[in-house]
Amino acid sequence: MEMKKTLYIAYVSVMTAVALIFSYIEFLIPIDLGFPGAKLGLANAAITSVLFLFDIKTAFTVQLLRIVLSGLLFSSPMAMLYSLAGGMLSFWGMVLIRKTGKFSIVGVSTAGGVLLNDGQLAVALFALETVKLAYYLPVLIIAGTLTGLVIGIISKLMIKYMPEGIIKRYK
Amino acid sequence: MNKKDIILAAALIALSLILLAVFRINKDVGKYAAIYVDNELYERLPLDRDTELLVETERGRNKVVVLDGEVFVEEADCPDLICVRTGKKSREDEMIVCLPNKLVVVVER
Repeated sequence: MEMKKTLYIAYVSVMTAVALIFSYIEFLIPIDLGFPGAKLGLANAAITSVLFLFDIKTAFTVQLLRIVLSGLLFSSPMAMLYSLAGGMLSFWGMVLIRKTGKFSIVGVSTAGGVLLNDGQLAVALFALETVKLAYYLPVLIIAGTLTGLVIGIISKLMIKYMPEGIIKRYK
Repeated sequence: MNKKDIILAAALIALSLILLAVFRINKDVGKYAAIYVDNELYERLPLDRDTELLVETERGRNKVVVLDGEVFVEEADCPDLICVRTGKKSREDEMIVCLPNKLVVVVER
């Protein structure tokens, strides 16, 4: 039992660190499509794989830790708010899509990618109080679908190369 | 990846293409560049006259330039500079957004 718990803590910490590094990479190399809201969502690769390997609670913890820590470390409180909105919308969207049991990790991540962008757009709409920003919606959906697909494939690989022992012992 | 995943991705792309068609990207060239700060009209610049305008508010500074019928943000003090990289806009409803400085430039009729 003790062993399990230690492994669990170590695993969650490592995945949080991975998610943070992904956020940092994204901060260093911003994917610039010429409008606010579009995000590559690299960190989602860590979140989706935790969601598939463990449970909703663990994935939620990692997601929340990532958003708060990367907000404090790399960006501003305002940017943290944007990423919180996008992060929460995409997280719960992914949970719902996974619950249907019809989609693989790639489909779940695609939905996550789209919702990540749209959550950010929603906050921008709210902050600027202009509905005209909805003009960006189609481009954001396309961008989110494509990045989500790629991130989904990355998550699949992450799970594939995860040491099996960790997962087995936890379960 | 299974079949359902591909259907989901295809459906999303189809949806955005439909939205794009509805929004009609090929709009006519606009006549004014309206500059909004904090959702309030700051200035309307006619696109047929070359001008430069330094928008300086408590939120920040953006230099808006109209040149050859196009509007763009030449420089700004915001951290991400997305507004500068957005480039030149001239068609109706096209936008330049600077979230940190709460500045929106919309091309209007």
